[in-house]
This record gives sequence, C-alpha cells and structure tokens, in this order.
Amino acid sequence: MSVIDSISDGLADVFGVLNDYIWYVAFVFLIGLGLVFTYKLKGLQILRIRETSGLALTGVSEGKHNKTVSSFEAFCIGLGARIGVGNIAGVAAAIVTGGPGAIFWMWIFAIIGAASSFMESTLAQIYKEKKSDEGFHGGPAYYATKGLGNKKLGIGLAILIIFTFGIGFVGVQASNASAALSNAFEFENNSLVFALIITALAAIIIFGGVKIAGKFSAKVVPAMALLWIVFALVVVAMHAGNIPNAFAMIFKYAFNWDSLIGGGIGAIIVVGLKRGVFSNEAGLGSVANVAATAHVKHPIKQGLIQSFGVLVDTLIVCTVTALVVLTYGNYADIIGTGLSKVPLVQFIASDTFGGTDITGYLIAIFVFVFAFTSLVGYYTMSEANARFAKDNKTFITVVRLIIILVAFASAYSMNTDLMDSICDTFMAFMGAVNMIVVALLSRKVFEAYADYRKQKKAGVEEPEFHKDALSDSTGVTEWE
Amino acid sequence: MGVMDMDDKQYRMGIIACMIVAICMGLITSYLARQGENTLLFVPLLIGMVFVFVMYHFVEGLSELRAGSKVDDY
Repeated sequence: MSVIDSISDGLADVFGVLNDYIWYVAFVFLIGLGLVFTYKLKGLQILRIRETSGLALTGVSEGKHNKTVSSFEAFCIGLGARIGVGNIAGVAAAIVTGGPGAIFWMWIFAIIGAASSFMESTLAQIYKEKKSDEGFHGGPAYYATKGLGNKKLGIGLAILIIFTFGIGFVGVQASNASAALSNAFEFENNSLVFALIITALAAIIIFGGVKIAGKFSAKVVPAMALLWIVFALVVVAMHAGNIPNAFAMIFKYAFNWDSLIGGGIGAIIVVGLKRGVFSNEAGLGSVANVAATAHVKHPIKQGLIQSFGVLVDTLIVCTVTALVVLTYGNYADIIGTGLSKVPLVQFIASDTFGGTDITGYLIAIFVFVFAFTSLVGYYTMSEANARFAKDNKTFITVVRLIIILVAFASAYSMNTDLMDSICDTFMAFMGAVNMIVVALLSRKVFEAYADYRKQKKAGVEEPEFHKDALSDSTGVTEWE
Repeated sequence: MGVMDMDDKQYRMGIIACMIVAICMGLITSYLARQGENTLLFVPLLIGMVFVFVMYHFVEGLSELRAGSKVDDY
C-alpha cells in the first residue's frame, strides 16, 4: 500500500466517524425545521406546485438587466448545481448502502426540503446586494450579516460554503466524472488524461466569469436532464415487467426494521437523507447563492422557483435513476454485481442492451456533463462567497486556483469514497448552521409571502416587492 | 409564565437552551446508532425534533415581541 493510499484510508476513517456523529445532529435541524416551515407555509411546495412550475418556465421571457441573471437562468444554474453526480452515482450508492427503502426517504426529505429551499432562496433575494460588477450577490453569508447583523457569522458561513462546495462538492463531482470516463474509455494513463481535460475545462469556465457560467448552464442543463430521463426510461422500458416490483421494494424496505444492511432503519433513513440532500441541496444554502443573482420583481418568485427545483431533482431525475437500478432484478441481483455508484448504472445499462460498450460511453458522457454543470454552479457560489469574505483580486485568484487544484486532484485520484466522506461532513455542518440562521430570520420570509399573496388576491398579475412590506427592513438594501 | 409574557433575553435564552438540547439528542442518537440500538435511537431523535419545534416557538415569540405584531395571514 502506498503512502497516499494510507493517508486516504486514514482520512476516510476520520471523516467516517465524524459523519456518523454529525449527521444525526444535522438530521434533527434539517428535518425538524423543514417540517416547521412546511407547516407554516401550509404545504406550498405540493399544494401550489402548479404555480411554482409555471413560474420556473415563464421566467424564460422575463425582462432583466444586462449584468444580472434572469429568473430562468438562476433556476437553471440552481438545477445545474443540483442535477449532478448525486442523481446517478448518489442514487445507486443509496440503493447499495441503504437498500431500496432509501429512495422512499429521499422522496420524503425532498418534499420537506422544498420548503427549506423556498425559505433560504427568498431570504437570499430579500438581502441580496448589487456589487461593483452590477450583478446581484447574496446567500447565507449575506442574510446572516445583514439580517442578523452578525458580520463574523456571515464570514464564517462564507468560508464554510467555500469548503463545502468549492472543495467537497467539486471533489465529488470531479472524482465521479473521471471514474465514469475511465471506466468507459480504457487506455493507458486514462485517469491523468481525463483529469487534465476536466481541469482545463473547469479553468476556462472559472476564469470566464459568472455570466458565461449562467448562459452555459441555462442552455445545457434542461436539454441534458431531459436526455438523461429519456435514456433512463428506455432502459427501464426494457425491464418494464419489473417496475411494480421496483416500487414494491422501495416501499417494503423503507420500513424494514430487520434491515438488509447494517444499522437497521436508522441507517436507511440517514442514507436517504444524506444522498437526498447531496442531490437536491435543500437547506444547504447553495441554491440560495444562485437565487440571489436573479433579477425578479418579488423575492417570493425565486423562493417558489427554487422549491420546484428540489422536487424536479429528486422526485423526477433521481427516481428514474432508481428505476434503472431496481428494475434490473431483486435486491440480491443488484448487490450480486459487486458494484456501486456510476459503474453499477453503467453495468446495468450495458447488460440491458446485450453487453454493448456504447451505453457505458453514453452514461460516462452524461455523468461528465452533469458533473461539469454542477461544477459551474459550485464555482459560482464559491466565488461569490470568497468575494464576500474578502473582495480582493489576489484572494479570489487563490480561491479559483484551489478549486481547480481540488478538481484535478480528485479527478486524478478517483477516490470517490473519501471525497463522499469529506463532502458529507461539510454538508452536515453547513445544513445545520444554515437552517438555524434561516429559522432566526423566518419572519421576513413569512411577511414577504403575506405581501405576495395579498397582491395576488387583489388581482395583481406580477406582484412587486418594496421593503416597507417588512416590519423591520434593517439590512435590506435592494428593494427601495 | 406563558411564552408571550417573556422578555427579549428570556426568549434568546430559550432558543439557545433548546438548540443545545437538540444537538445533545442528535449526538446521543448517533451513539446509539453506532451501538446498533436501531429501535432505541428513535427516542433521542424524536426528543431532539421536539426541542427544535420548541426552539422555533421561541424564535417566533421573539420576532413577534420585536415587531409588535403577528405576521398577516396568507
């Protein structure tokens, strides 16, 4: 065993234990407060789904300033960040480590998380700020600083976001993308070649700026997500007879106290939460960063749009991936392959079409594009937070270089388990702290929502927000 | 003393206390999960969630106290 392998194993053990402890703490806050918000908002994420889906799509034609991002672009960047490796590798890993029942818990937590996403995205809009580049910036760091009046907490959150997304999430996306490509295209030094390609493309986007990133994601993500759904449904259709059994497994094992896996039902639920949150990012503050960049007339619009994004990610995209895996056969058949994550999906798709390599190539390309658009989203939020912590050219360049270095190291090492552990640890910290901050500022969201509903009831088609709608508008600078 | 009779400082203390208890319950849940107590772990987990609900109740009370009114219905 090489020194690097020993260090990797040691780090994986440390982060593994940390994860075991911190995730139940994160669970209490993410789910507890998610349930509170769902109750307070009267289940808007489900009961008003027609309105949220309509808003997400009509944002296409919404007028905007040259330097800002349109509502639809913000939705697509958010979706680009959400729809990533978690929708393929994460779902397969959830099934292997948590059993088919983990998918059920991913659904439940997505529905609860959509309310949290509404809260954080609306707050990000309320406390957004126009910077010297004339674009809007916002997110947990901004609402903690301006809403709670605590600059230190804001900077702490900004740094936590850089660690969580600029390092943790970028590492996971890059390592999985490289692993998927290397698994499909085998040649000498393939991991180095793919690591260099991923790094070079990331550097082009990173030094191209947030505007290019927005346009890139807005064009690529919807088509890419749709293509994946079509491809996955074709694979599922080949095993159509197994669809009822797939759903039966999901529901049966969701409440199976004599679990198939070690750790029982508690482990199933936590795996569902971890992989669900990793996929849809509800409550982590990431999408709030993107939501803040949108030019909208009322903050609630971005809240509604981004809550719909959580449902699209998990209830649609993750579910089709789960069906690809679960229609392959019984759970024993799936485990019997000895595979997990992307290689498992690649194997099933390839086996379905008679062992052809083409499906493996296709999935590798899907994972690569998913990972890359996610990387764009993570870069966008990492840079915005770096600018918040220290708006200095040298500092920003250092952050950009660190992100590029992490992308290269993760893509080259392809140690997906270690990157998952590191990412999960940061994610739990981020989720718990962000949700507490959101709870402390929740009144602002409810006041803005009451204002939005009042205008809607009065027949206003396009409600407009003014900071006077808030009982205390201290720290609100963009809604004069 | 009812929740609505509390002052600013008492609300803040209530929020912090509930937060600490919720964190402790999460850690106890983790410990039980590591010990393989797959049924028992739901007890501290649910207690932790209850404390999060109570914490939110204090948050709401504090914001109402500071704003001087409840949020309009929507």
